Amino acid sequence: MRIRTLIVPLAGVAVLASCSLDLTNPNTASQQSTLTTHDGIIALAVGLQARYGETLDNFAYPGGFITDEMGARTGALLSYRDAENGVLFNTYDAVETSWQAHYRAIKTANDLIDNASSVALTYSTLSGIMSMAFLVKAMAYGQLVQQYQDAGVNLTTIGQPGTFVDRATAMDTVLALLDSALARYQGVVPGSEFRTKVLAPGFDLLNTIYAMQARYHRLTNDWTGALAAAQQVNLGVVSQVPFSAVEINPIYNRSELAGYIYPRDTLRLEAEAGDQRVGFHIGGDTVPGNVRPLRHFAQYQSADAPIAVYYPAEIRLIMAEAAANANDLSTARDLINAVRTECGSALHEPQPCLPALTDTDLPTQAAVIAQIYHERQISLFATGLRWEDARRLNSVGGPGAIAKRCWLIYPQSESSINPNTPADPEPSEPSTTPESCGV
Amino acid sequence: MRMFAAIGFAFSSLSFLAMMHRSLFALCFLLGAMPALADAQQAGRITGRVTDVSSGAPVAGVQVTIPGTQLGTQSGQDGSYTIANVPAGAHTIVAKRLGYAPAQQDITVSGGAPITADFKLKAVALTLSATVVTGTAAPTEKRALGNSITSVGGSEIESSNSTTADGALQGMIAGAQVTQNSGNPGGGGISVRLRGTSSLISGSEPLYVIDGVIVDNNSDQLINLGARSNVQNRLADLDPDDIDHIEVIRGAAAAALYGSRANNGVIQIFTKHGREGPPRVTLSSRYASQSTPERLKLNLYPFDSLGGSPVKRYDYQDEIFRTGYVADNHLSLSGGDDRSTYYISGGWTRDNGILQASSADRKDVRLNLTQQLYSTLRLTVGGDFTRTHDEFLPNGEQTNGVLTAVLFTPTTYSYFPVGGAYPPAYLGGAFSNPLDVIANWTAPQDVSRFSGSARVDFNPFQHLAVSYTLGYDGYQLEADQYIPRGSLAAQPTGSSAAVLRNSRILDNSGVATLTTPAGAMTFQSSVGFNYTDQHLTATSASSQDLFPTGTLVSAGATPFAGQGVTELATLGFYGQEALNWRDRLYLTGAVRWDASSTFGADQRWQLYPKLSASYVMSDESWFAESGIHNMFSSLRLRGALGYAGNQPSLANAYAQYNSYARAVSGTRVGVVNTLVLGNPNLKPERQREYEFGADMGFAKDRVSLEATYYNKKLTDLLLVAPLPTSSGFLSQYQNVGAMTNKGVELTLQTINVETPTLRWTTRATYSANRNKVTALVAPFTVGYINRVSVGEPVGYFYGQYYQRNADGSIKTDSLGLPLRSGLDPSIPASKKIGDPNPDWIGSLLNEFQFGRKLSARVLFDGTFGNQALDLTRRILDADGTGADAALQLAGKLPKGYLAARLPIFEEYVEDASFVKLREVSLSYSLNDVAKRMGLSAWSLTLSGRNLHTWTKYRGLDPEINLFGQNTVERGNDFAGIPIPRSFAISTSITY
Repeated sequence: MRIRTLIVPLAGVAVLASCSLDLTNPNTASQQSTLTTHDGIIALAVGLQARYGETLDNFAYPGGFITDEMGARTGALLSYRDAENGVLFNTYDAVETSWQAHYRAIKTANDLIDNASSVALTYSTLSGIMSMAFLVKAMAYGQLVQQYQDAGVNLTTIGQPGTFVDRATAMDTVLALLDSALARYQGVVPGSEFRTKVLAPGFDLLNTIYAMQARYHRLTNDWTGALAAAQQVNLGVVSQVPFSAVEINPIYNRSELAGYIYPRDTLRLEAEAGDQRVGFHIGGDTVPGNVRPLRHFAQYQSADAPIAVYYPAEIRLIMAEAAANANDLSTARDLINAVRTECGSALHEPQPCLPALTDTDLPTQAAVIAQIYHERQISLFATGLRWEDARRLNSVGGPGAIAKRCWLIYPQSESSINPNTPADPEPSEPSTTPESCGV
Repeated sequence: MRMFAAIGFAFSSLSFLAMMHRSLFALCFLLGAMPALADAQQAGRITGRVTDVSSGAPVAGVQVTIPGTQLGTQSGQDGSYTIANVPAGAHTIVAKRLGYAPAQQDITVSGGAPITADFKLKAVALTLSATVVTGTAAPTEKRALGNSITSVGGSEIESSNSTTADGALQGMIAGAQVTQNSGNPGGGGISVRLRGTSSLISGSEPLYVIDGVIVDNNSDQLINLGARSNVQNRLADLDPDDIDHIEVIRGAAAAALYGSRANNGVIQIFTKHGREGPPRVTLSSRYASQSTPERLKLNLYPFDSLGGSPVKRYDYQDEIFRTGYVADNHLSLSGGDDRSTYYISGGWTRDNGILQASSADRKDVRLNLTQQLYSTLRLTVGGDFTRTHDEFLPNGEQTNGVLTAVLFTPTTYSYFPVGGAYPPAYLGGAFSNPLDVIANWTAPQDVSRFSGSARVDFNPFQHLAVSYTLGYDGYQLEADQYIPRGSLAAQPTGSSAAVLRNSRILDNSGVATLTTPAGAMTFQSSVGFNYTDQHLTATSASSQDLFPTGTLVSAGATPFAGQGVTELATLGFYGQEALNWRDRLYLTGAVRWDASSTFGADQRWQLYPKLSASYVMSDESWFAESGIHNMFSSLRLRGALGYAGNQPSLANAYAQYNSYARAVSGTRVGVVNTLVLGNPNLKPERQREYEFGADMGFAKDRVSLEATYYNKKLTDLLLVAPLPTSSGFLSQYQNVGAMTNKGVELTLQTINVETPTLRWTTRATYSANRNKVTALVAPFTVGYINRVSVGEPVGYFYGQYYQRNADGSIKTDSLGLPLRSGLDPSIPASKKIGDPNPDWIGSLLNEFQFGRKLSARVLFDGTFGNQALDLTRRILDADGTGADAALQLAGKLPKGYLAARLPIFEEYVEDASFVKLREVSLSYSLNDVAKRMGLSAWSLTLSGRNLHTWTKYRGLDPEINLFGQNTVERGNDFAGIPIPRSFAISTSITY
């Protein structure tokens, strides 16, 4: 009798021990819980802004190398030291990380655009999330087409390699996405759940949409569109991406923590004496270990320093450029002087505190436009925007040019797998000067 | 709900297999029927003594059994044995031991009278009768198996002087490459490759099973000891003194037992049990002195340049290395009566490593009990509790490794403290002053581990054996690190880290075996199941900015924390049918049906069949008359075909899922997709292996040769397949790789001299494996220059090489500097420049027994035809710190020569073939003295391990590997700690 009482439970244990083979991953959220629940979509929309934050550094530093804004310390990776001379290989960080960071932001934006509407969200939350997703996707594409000649607008899905479009088509897409972002925002104004749970503190959604419309209409030389959008931007606010001790400012990380990349002292030499924007951008001791002197980023001296999405000066200078192109030199001069004389504002932005320029300082349309590009160079230092300005000025390649090459090449992580990847522009090193980058 | 479905599924699966088997009866019997108790009345007791027929010396460890019953025991140190409760009637008693021809006697028990049955065993080189455990409820004779299984006895493990069980296997087994990855205390991290590399990213280490229970053998480095430092693998927690024997299953035979985990082979370890008799106390002690046999040759040129100023140069190796010691004590108490046996032991090992401030302590207690509850039911319970405490010193390849600091620092720079303060690291940043590290940093590691099992053996009637094993292996590991303030420029405010790992494996297995005699044939049918649940958590905390006297994480102002959880479940069912025809022809067929939580739901259940045949030709009556007999005294032919699988590593346990991980925007927490796309079609890596071979005895079995050819084809190997990054992903795990391993294994054993005064035996092993990768997504390079590409062996060295003239000499430029391949566009920049996989590995063991008291043993082992990448020398070149830099300074090499050859990896790929004098020992038996003192046995042993290395390799040790147990990255030496040479004296006393 006793023997059976022992055996049966033991045999029972053998088979009854919890035999579940469907184990979920406790370390991460599942696709299901992320894309089909209210909380999942809210969390993903926060994640979208984290990914956008990563693109800002990746937009800034490759262009910074190519246009002499930044340099690599001698001890830095060879890939950085080559890039600052305009030499690129398709495995280099400067080529790979930018591509990857931007497409990751686009992937997350797509996750939201494709799924948020099917989830139970209040209208005022949904509109904010959709508006943000369209905006980030637009900004990511917009930044990509300022680095790579063609952009893969149709995102790769598995077994379906993405196809590429030319710059003009990509620009249309960027503007259409910005229109969608604005339409969503204006359709239902984002409500308190969006503002308190999703939107990063310091990020101004509506003003950023207008500012980006202004930026990208300018790039298509649509001055009417650029001016109309710029006039909508409230110049009394700045829009920023916040960082923290956990999510470290990526420029601070690459520069101060890794010790690889620093701003060049050239900025100081090229600015007018007394221009206080220089001290906003660079400072500290000279960083040893480069042929040309390097300094530190003044505003990225801590892990939690925010990065501006745009500076109000950019908007004023877009309006000035629109006026100058319409040959309204007086308005253009006023706008230039509004930038130059800004001093003591409460906003976290570069403030020149310089005297206004007179009509005799800027007598011609060409002089006005040249001054606009100079103010852009100093105000928008290390934002990644200077490379496009160099292309627009046909100042690429050759001695004295702003930029050392027109475009980044396509990274190996794409070109070796995606058969639709276009041939690299400027396949050899930039030993020959292009007549124009064709922008 | 899900659980009930699983149970139903489990039952239906069982029935499915059972239907195919006649063992359905057995299963139902187990679950419901009431067994009859055998009649224990009139039982008798058999006692006897087993001796060597030639020398008359007692033979210990002989399996004495009564076939067809559960009865049996092992002979003790004095050769005696007792078997109680032998039922009345006629029986055959069989005595078997590795290295001896089996013997048997017929006896008849009647009226409970005691019976004496002594055995005199004859030593032979070929033992086909040894029993092994192969997944049936009853052990199987080796002769019945179509595949080769090697057993290593506890005495061989003891005499190895190794502090770990896996280390003790070096040189013991054909087909096993056992590598110690570093000379760190506590084992130094052991890698075992059975029949070559069987995976690309999922690990190639075999599965370890102790007393029927799967155990963890993780080797992760949880704190930063300078990147890769290879301190230990967790098998180091097992006390080798407790091991009775180890069975190594290299081939497809493992399939039936472990299905989707058997690709890399299985190492089964069996611990010691007590035997009937009065209590026996054994105390063994060993003290070993260990030191490094080699030092790096540094730049000690006395001037700063040729004809320049005198300069003082420093060599810190005397401050880094020391003469360490190992003290090992083990006390056991064992005994039993006719129903119960017990084995209780305690061990304490202290390994004071050859690196300053490093040590490994292990304390363990084991309790193994058996209880014959009824004549049909036996309970075996065993458990081992281990505590280890280690003190590690950063010794990896990067920044704060102590030997790395020597490589990276000009020999003119002084690290000696000035006024009590240590000068900063020459390179600053994350580099450290090695003397400061030795004096002030700490990196302790503590492990508390319990492993145990309970096994029930049930023999309701003579031909049915049922067993069920419940096993548990759990440990908590805590690794800490403290870096004081001011020690690292990169962390000026100091840092402290604590990482806790909890690992738990729960193992359930059951098997029923029914033996059915049918005339000249015997059928043995088995069905079984196995369910393993593995749970692993890692929790880490660290902080920086410590208050000045604080050392713990809580002393820091900026804390960080992390946590990871991994869970795996594997369920398998199997059935096996073995046919024995007249004890000479054996056919076995088996099938395992296996599922794991790591695979996609549609791919989860996989079938692994196995077939094997063994034919003991020399047992045929015609054999003795035939001409073959003139050549072979014994001849067995065997062959096997089997399939097995491999699961993803723990790191990829959830690779089938699309996942979203934490992403922080400012201070707000969200999620984004992980960069690895889930693969819902993930399935096990799969292996098809066939092997055939022969076991041959010559000269009355005084000479034996076991020869095996195997051919493994591995498919569906898991690889990281890159995705176009415009997808927002980086990669996906896909089952796309394939490779083959083909090889031969030879074991030659001879009894050279056998007289009452001298026995001299030799064992030589030879194995050669050829690995070839046959399918990939794309070639890739990992580690430094270990390359994987189709048509080549896994992990070969691929890199830049010298431009050469037509006569093969190195091409130089006008300054006499060597030219590298990358500078000539007409030749490929990189090519194959070496291979860390050996052409062959071998070992040679000679054992001598002089009279009855003195014995000696000498073991050599080596690898041949393999290269290693000497990154240590490369850094000595790069930083001008090596002896070659002194030559350059002295003008014996052109200026800039070292810098010019730095990118040429061919220069640093060196012949790493070696022969090591692995073990030497001389033992003297003081049994006569012991008996006068009232003890039963006493022995004294002098021994040495790793006494000498013959090699052309220029670094410290050709055996070590920077990347530890990694699969592809083999043969890299970067500031590695050489394996110590040790001399030991040991004694063992039995009371």
